[in-house]
Amino acid sequence: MPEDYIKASTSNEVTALLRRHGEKARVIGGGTMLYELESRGLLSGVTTLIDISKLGLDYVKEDSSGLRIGASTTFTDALRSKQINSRPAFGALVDALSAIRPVQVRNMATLGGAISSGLPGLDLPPASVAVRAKIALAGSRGRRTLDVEDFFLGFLETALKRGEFLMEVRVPRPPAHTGSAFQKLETNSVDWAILSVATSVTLKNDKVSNVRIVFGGGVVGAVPMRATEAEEAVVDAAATEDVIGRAAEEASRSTEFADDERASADYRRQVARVLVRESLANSVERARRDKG
Amino acid sequence: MEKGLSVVGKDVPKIEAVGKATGTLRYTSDIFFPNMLYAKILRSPYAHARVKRIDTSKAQKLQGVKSVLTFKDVPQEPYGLDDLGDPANAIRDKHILEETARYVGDRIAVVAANDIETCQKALEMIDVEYEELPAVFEVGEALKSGAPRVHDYYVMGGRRIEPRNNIATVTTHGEGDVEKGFRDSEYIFEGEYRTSSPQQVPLERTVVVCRPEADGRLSVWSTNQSIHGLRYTICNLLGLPFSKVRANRIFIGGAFGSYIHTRFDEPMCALLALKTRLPVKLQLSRAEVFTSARRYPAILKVKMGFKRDGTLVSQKYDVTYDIGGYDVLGAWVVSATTGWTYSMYRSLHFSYEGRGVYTTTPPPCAFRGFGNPQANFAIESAMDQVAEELGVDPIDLRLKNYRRKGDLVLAQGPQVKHYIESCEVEYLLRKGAEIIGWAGRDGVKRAGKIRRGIGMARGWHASSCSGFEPSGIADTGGAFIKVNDDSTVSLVTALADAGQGELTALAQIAAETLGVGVDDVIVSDADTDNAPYDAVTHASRGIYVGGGAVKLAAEDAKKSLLDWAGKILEASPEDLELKDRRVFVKGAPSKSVSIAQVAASARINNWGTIVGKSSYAASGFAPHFTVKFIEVEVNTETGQVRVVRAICGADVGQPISPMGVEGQLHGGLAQGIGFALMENVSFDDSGNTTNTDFLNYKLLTAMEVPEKVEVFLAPSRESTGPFGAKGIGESALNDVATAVVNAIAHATGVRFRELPVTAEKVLKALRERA
Ligand SMILES: Cc1cc2nc3c(=O)[nH]c(=O)nc-3n(C[C@H](O)[C@H](O)[C@H](O)COP(=O)(O)OP(=O)(O)OC[C@H]3O[C@@H](n4cnc5c(N)ncnc54)[C@H](O)[C@@H]3O)c2cc1C
Repeated sequence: MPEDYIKASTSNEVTALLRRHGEKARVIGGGTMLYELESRGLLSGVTTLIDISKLGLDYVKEDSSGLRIGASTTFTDALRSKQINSRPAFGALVDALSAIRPVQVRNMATLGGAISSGLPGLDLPPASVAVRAKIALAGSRGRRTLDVEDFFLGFLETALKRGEFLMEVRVPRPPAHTGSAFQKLETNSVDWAILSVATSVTLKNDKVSNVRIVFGGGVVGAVPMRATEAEEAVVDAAATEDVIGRAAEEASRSTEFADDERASADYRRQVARVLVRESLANSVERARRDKG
Repeated sequence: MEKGLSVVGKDVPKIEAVGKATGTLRYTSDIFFPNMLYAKILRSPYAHARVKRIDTSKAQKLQGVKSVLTFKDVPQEPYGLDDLGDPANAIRDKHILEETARYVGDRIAVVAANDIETCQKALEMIDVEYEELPAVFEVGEALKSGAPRVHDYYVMGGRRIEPRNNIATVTTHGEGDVEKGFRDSEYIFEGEYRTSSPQQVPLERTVVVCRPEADGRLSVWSTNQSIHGLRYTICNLLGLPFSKVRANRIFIGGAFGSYIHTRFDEPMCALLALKTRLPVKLQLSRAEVFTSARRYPAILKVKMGFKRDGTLVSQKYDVTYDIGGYDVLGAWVVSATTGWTYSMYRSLHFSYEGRGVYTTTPPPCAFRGFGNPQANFAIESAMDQVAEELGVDPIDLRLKNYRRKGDLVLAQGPQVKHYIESCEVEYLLRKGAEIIGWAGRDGVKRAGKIRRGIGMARGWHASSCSGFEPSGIADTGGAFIKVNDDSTVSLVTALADAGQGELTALAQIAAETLGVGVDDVIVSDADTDNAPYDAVTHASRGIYVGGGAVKLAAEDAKKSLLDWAGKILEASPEDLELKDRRVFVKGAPSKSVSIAQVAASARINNWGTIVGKSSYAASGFAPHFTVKFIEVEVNTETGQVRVVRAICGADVGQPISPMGVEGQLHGGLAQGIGFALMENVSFDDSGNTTNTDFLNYKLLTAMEVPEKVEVFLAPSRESTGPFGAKGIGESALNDVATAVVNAIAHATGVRFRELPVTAEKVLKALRERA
């Protein structure tokens, strides 16, 4: 049960505290997941919460290399950001953020929290893999950046080391004619996705030059899973309905789906086809509109 | 509808609205006392196990621990719910704490300590050795010969009874000869339906506070729908005279039947308070709430025989309820289903056989509808399919056969009888059909990826537990009224308000009767010392019985008011009328006196105080009726179902608060859609409840409730109800799930007979058909 709540004013203070307390300290973003963690006994050893809201990490910036989104940016602010919502290439982020229906959660939860939680069933992890995000971490031994794919290690497990926290999510500037999208299936608006998928497509002369198909919730492995065989089946092909259908089939066939309380693996396999198809179709449509 | 009403029939804000909106209204969990202890229950990790050895010595010694109780420290005689019926008929099969656990989560020991953390630590220090016993999780298995016995015996009327094949209770009822009826029929329908087990999910978790008073009495506050039932059970169980306990009425944050009566928590908390001589608070966690009550799951077999023209000739119902590890209300729900099946449709021949079967699962409890939603799912699904197979319009089939004005109907048991007086079923069916566009329903888009369909069902519920013959069920209500010197009115009633707006409606009834505004009525705090008996807020009886009692008490007060006003106005009381806080001479609007003046004169002249009292039982149960017309969208690629439009019609007699009725219909709709599509408490192979939080237990949130909901009320008046009113609480829910499932059938051609109809089930069925 956390007893200390520290409002840090510099990132050095945060990393020093994390270094000192190790497992006993946690960074807190919007705090929307604390109850869930606590009620499952996952905060039992934690004594100190470190609030990073005074670090000035609530921003969305754009430069020639791409987007930089501060860890403290709330879902609502990210959704409102022109830099994000005006480019079809970032459609997956917009879809994922809007798919989080409770407005109270959108107003409080932060991008840093969504990624750091290490839960693939959340909506932003697969979307961030689809847009090839990079994660900037600050640590007591300095800063480092890694591909978001390398950040997720397992259920509630991330690449964060002792003394480190997430500072920024970076999205490298995608080439023109890139579109991305996100789809999910859930029972109600406060559910973990039964199945979620994010895709991105870059077109060159209406041929697919680059593609990502990423499953989030509902797959075995507890990290966002790329359907690489399906991706390969699409690269260099024309972006037709047929090709999209084939990719969807392949993604559904080659992925190992979870079998649990929420749904059977068989059901997930069937709807995977539908979600991938729709997400790819949206991505292609957006890629055609994307001007870079 | 009644004419000339000024408060009844008007929309007024709930009397507690400001308190709720500002967070100042006090709930049980807001009660704190100096030196108050907290309690926590040690629960069985096994579905069926006997405690071989239990050692609490370490826990007792932990600093801050004030009391540790086990089965050895509680009354050893088994008990049953017996405050509402003949105690000789109660199934006595439970104790406050058990030596043998009969579900995962069963109560083994309880700790009271200075704080919750110490309780938690103490629980971990209790050393228990269990002997595991064979468990049985499913009624089909429990009924087999040689199945594990959940109870070797229970006690009833002082005798030990050994349930055979785990059957705890049976009710049968019949008229005519159903087999002959089937021989006389030209078309026979048979179907088997299975309903699931949603949790009531009250917003407020179960919580009890007990405080020993200086005079040796015990004060109790609790999330409980009956203060008198609460006092009765605590006192009977702990061997206290009724005078030793004062149970206090307090607003409840939702109940839906789960707090209908005193189960284990209140007596446990009372016992701890008595032992420690300190105030004790026992509050369940949300996970504990999930295993403390749920709807009785049922398997319903229906056989119906018809003439070709759709006339129903014979009906046979065979219903098996899973009552879990203890009979909480199992015998009652089995008995009540007699009425829920009998009273929908006429037929010369009728038979019902229901049984309640023990399993080693958490015992269900009352839940809005009390068996009626289960029965409705079977009956109204069957009627829909029969209509299709006979080529008759589903509405016409219902109009041909429904029980109507003058017909005998039954409610909570074969002995609860009533002749229908007000009945606007035909209006409801026709009006609902008109609004949704029933005649053109095949025109809604029914091909392609998203298919639409429109379905309907009708339902009903009793407005009390009384009949024209003694029902054997306690059903009396009562009220006290006092008119104050400033023309305000104090009202005392024992009825509980769990958010449905009942106390507001009762205030409206008092105000209307006494010619004051609803703001002039003070609904006083009530407890078992000052309030006349009222059975319990259940059975949709709050308005029909409780409101009837308030009206009588107000009329009683009105007698003195008019007598004394007559003295002042020099007029005979019969020539007086009440309006706008004044007493007028009829036909002479210039001759009047304020109620305040009458009250003041009565005081100065020693005429007395204007008071009224009542104790009232109804002589019938005045059914209220509903229809639901539902439009759904089915995604044929994912199986997901969305309710896009709902029409809810009701015959509630004269609505006391139309907005309140509308609120009930909206809430019932949301709960019913959840019942249809997602809600269900589920278990793993060892009997652990697998969904004990809102991440894993799925119910509709505000974001899933359909946006298009239309409510309409039939012009109706029930002469036996206060101002012509009947109930609404339960029928608001009873027919919803069936209407949803019938709409899915219309959209897809697939008839689902098992709830909930999840997306996965829909997709599977669609694929099997293709
Ligand atoms: C009612 C409800 C409905 C929801 N519905 C959805 C939904 O539909 N889709 C969906 O995707 N999600 C949903 N969520 C989950 C939501 O996305 C997460 O709660 C949110 O992303 C967590 O962000 P936060 O900023 O509040 O994190 P916090 O609760 O503050 O923290 C979460 C975890 O991340 C760690 N952390 C936070 N920030 C950092 C950082 N900068 N560096 C290192 N570690 C950090 C914390 O230590 C903690 O372990 C829902 C949540 C709720 C309560």
